[in-house]
Amino acid sequence: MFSFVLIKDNHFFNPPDYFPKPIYNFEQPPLDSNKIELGRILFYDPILSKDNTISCASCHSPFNAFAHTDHDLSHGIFDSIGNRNAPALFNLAWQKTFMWDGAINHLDMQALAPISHPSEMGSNINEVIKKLNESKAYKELFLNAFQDSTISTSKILKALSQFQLTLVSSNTKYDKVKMGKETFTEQEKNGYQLYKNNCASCHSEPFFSNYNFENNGLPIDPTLNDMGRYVITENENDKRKFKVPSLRNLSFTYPYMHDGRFMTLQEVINHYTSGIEYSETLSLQFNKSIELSSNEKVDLISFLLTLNDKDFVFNKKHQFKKIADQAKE
Amino acid sequence: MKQYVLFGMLFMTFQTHSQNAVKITFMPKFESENLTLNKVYYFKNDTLNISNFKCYISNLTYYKNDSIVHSSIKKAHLIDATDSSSFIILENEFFKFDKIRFNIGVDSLTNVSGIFEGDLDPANGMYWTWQSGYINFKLEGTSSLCHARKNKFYWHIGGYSPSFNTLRQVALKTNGKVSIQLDKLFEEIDISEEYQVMSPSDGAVQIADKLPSLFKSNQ
Ligand code: HEC
Ligand code: HEC
Repeated sequence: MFSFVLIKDNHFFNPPDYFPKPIYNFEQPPLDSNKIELGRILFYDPILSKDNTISCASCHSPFNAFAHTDHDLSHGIFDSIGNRNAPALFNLAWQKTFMWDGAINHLDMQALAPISHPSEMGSNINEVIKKLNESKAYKELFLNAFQDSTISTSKILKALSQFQLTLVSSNTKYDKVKMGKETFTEQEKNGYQLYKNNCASCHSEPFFSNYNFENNGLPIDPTLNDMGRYVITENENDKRKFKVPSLRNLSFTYPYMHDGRFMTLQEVINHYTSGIEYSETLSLQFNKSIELSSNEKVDLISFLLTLNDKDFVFNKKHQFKKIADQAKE
Repeated sequence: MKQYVLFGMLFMTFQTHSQNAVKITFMPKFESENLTLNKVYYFKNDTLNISNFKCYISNLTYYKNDSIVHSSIKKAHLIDATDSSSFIILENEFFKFDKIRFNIGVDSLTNVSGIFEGDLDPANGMYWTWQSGYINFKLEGTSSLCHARKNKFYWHIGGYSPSFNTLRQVALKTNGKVSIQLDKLFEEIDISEEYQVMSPSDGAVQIADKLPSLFKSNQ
């Protein structure tokens, strides 16, 4: 309850009224500019990887709404290829779980996964702490952020979380229409209706995801054989279910799906109208097939494009920031 | 007069406080000996050694005549075979007790509440990075009966979800000296079958079921 009041007054985190209360607990510690800036610098610094070549941003680029577009499966250290497509990062404060299969239960703990993953950043948190401790500039940044220059796991993770929590996408045309500042074209209006009829049960407003696990009928890629949520729960009912991704910023986040199998929205829509593969865990919504004329497909896409948030994607406050060179020694 | 009595009493409690603060010792053992890492043990028809042993003790509560007299303020305590000071839990207070109750592992609320410092710092190597969750109990080494590469076995026992819950409670009548009889585990587990448990799974749950029996009071 209290956190809600705090957040509302907070100038780093100011979601619109129609966004529900965040799931992330902002009380310990509350957002502040020093921690956010430290998190931002860490996010862009390859010091987090074993051979100092890869940063979080190597796979989560600000210009792609913090997704990754030049390869379907994200490149990692030593060019070994991870098994999954890097998701876009925004509105993380409202997510219950992280990763395509929900393997991570808290935003603070997420960064441990890429840092420790042999094919992502190939390091471990103790190595990272050691390297950061050798940098005068970092010691100073930690001191400013936490009033204590001892670099620890929890400070690194909290700073990374704070930066990522400020990645809020809430300034799309859809949002402006919602706030009465703009209006949809006829085509977009029609697309909105088609979205409501066919997509909204999973890609629900205002995040355009309910963040639940669903099977949207993608045929299994036999080279990966990725069973999604089942990998974590070993529950048969979870086979082939993946966390529903947001539909915000789709123009920036291609390729699509957990394995990046589709390059265009056209392909995605065609999947929903004619590519759904039946399996035991297929989400019930697809018991009835989705039928869209070619005009309707165009309308639906024109609505989806109103979910692009250029203010978010080109926000300078989220972009590359380097640790002050002169202080680095 | 009254004041003097009060002063005297204060003095006495202060004395007992500093001298007799309650402590519990959890001593990792192999048969009758204190555990030595990397030492070769001949046990039944096995030749084995233990290279790593860590385990969490949490929610430690003290009882006298079956009522609670104290609850440890420390959320979770990490026992680490490489650091004998970690075998002792100190309460900074004096009280009488005849029984303790504690959990082996970290409770589910802590598991879903983000990052902590100290004993719960993931840098201690007791946290799974690719899938959120603490490892409650970790034992690694080699065994001649284990057919894995270099005869290595890895028992990383954790999991907090209802389907793979590995937190286990122990109640012990004790005066404060507890041993953790690691040999008992090699009696209970067929190491030729179960030599690699490294995720929340049925295998982890089965091993977790055996953990309470390792804890013995050493009166
Ligand atoms: C080599 C590429 C790569 C690097 C480097 C990388 N990530 Fe990721 N990230 C991914 C992939 C792939 C996933 C999805 C993994 C999965 O589902 O198993 C992901 C998932 C995430 C998620 C979860 C998003 C969601 O919606 O569930 C967050 C948050 C995140 N990464 C943050 C970071 C941070 C912070 C760093 C730097 C410490 C980082 N990533 C480094 C590839 C990368
Ligand atoms: C039953 C739930 C459900 C419904 C209904 C649904 N989707 Fe999805 N959608 C998903 C899931 C789950 C994924 C991720 C699947 C994966 O990667 O394995 C997804 C992925 C997507 C993606 C890829 C996004 C990205 O960033 O990779 C797009 C685009 C998309 N859906 C659009 C739509 C549209 C348009 C509709 C309506 C025609 C729709 N979805 C209906 C569950 C659903």
